[in-house]
Order: sequence, then C-alpha cells, then structure tokens
Amino acid sequence: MGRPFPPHLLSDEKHTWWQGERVYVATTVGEGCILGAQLSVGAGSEALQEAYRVFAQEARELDSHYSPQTLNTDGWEATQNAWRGLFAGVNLILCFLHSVLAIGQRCRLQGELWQSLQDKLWNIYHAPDAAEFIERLRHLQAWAIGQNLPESVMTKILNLSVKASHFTLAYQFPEAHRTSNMLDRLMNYQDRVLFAMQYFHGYQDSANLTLRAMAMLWNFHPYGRRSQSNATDTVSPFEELNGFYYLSDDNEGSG
Amino acid sequence: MSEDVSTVPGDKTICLPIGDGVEYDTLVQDRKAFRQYLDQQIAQHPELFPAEMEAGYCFHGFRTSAKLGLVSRRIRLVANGEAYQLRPDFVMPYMIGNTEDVEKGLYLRQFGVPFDAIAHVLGKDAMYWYRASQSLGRPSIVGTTIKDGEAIPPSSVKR
Repeated sequence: MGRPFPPHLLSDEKHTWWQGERVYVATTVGEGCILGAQLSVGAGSEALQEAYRVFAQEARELDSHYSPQTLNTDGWEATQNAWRGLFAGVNLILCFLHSVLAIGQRCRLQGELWQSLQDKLWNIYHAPDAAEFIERLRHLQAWAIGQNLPESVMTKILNLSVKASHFTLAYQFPEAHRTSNMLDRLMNYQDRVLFAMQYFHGYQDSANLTLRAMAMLWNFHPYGRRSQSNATDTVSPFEELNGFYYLSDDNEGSG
Repeated sequence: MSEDVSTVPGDKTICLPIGDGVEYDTLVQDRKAFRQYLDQQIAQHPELFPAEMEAGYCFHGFRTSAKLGLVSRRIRLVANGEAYQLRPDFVMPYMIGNTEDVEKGLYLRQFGVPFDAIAHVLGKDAMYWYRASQSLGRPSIVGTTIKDGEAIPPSSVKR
C-alpha cells in the first residue's frame, strides 16, 4: 500500500524569534513532507541534537532500526554533529547550492564574472561521476588562479576541494538530495506563516505545538487546482509520499 | 529528553474511519455490530491501529463528550493492557468539534490567516481556532504522515 520510509532526508534550521530572542527550528524534510520541526534555543551541536531527537524518536517508534541513508545539510557543523550523534551510520551530503550561493554573494557586483562562474560551477555539479566531478573542479580552480579574482571569491573556490568528498558522496546514492531545494521550498512556507504570526511570544511548548501543527497542515494540504491538473495526479504531499489518500471530496480514497 | 519517553501526548486515541451510510450513534451502542465494524476497519486500514490489536482486544467502557454529547468506545489491548479511545473520524481530537466544521478554519491557517480573522469569517472565537490549530501538533508528525503497511510496523503508528 505505502512506500518505504524516506531513506534520503534533508535538514536545516529555520531562524526565527521567540520572545524577541533568535531561535532555530530544527526542520527535517523527506519526500516533500515536513517530518520534524522542533524549536531549539541554541545552534550548538547539543541543543540541535535535542531538537532533532524528536524526529529520531518518532521515526524509531515506527521502525526501531530506522536510520536515514543520506542526509543533505548546509555547511553548519553543529547540524552535522547532531545528526551523527543520533544516527551513527548516516551519510552526510553537503548542499552544493549553498556553495554556489556563497560564491555568488561574494561577486554580487561583478555580473559577468558571476555568470561565468555560475556556468562553471553548475557544470561541475552535472559531472556524471565522482572522478569527473573532481576533474572539473580542478579545471575551475586552475582557471580561477589565472583570473585575478577577488580574494574572498578565490578562497571559496579553493575551499571546494576541502568539501569535495562530501559532494561526491552523493554519487554513491543516486536518489540522494544533492541540493537543499526541497527543504528550501518547505522552509519558505514556514517563513511566510511565521512572519504572518509575528513569530513566538508564548511558552516554548506552545511554540512547538504551533510548529508541529504547521508541519501537519503542510503535509496534508490539498494542492491547488492548477498544480493538480499539471504534472501529477496526486492531491497532497501525503499522497505523494504514501501513494494513497484516505478521503477526497467525493469520499473515495485511492490506493 | 530520554529516548524512551514518548513525545506524543495524544497517542492513546485511535481515529476510527466511519464510512458513508454508517449510523455511528446506533453502531456505538451495539457491541456486536461495533466489534464487527472495528474488525473490518482493522483489516482494511491496519496502519491506523496498534499492531498489538492482532492479539485481541476487549471493550473498556465509554467516553462521552460534554461539548458534543458524542459517545465513543474505549478498548483495552490483550497484549499489553493498554487502553485506547476510539474517536470517530468526523470529530476532531479532544472532541472540540466536527471535523467538517473545523476543516475550513484549519485550511486558512495554512496561509497564516490570524485566528481573529478566522473567527470573524467562520464564527466561534479566536481562542477556539487557536486551540483547534494547536491540537494538530500533538500527534506524532512522522507516524501520522508516513503510512507504510509493509516496511513500518503499524503498531507504532500513534495518533
């Protein structure tokens, strides 16, 4: 009836405000659904691990041996440490998009350079295998050395080599997420709702309930008519994940 | 937070699907018919019930909602002695109202519509919609979202 537990997840922290203080929503996403959303008052490894533990615990209530195969994260080390602490065997894949954006920020005023760099960076991303990825990265770095680039841009480009093994890990898992786009789309939803409600001013428990309710509303929300009539015949993220739904307008489920 | 403490406060309620044409008020009072209906639902949607149901269950009294006047049955599992309330799917958790009546307000929450605005359009008061919204956060997100009859033991699906 259903499909297996999502083996490839994404996670990141949504920055928000609780009683005027900056806090972080430890968000876990898989197959277009928000699977975890928990407030963390700190952004260190320990605090984030406690926040992500809620997802781990709920997942293990379903399958006591569950561990995601891969997890896509940005470069924040505390997030990676938190997940390593919760799931010892998880393969952490670094989001390539974050690296592209970081370079883009540093040459914001140099349109031509950015265009050229962007093409080269995405060319690396589209390499068919890990060896080719490394090869194309070397070519970019060799090209960059001869271009007299700003130091901040150059540093970022050279740093790509340090992260290369975290990018190329994705080639072992063809279904894994190489960028955080899926997560970003869902965080955009969180962002809009949090802004509309002017963030959190009550108790931490009620803030958590609000975040969890937001996740539920997203997971079960009906797609707009245009989305439904476009590519898919699914009606909600829940159906997309599970391959069935319980009830529709005419009270007939599928699957 | 230790790993063996449940994060799911409302996990002792099972949401029982009530099909079209089923007279719930009559069904809930008829012990034999209710058991037959429940067994049929367990066979059809095993992911909604604890796996321990397989070892059998017995009826364990009734709960009556003061607000809705609705009666629901409770069951006790033979395997572990745990008691669950069987909430029909046409009422919200904690029986705060009918699902159909609350659904539109919760749909608007998806777009961040303020509780005051929902109350202005759909009635009740802002706190009602606040509580209705908060109650969605009580079940397990993973357990409610992921329904895999084969890969995941349905036993652990807590609602």
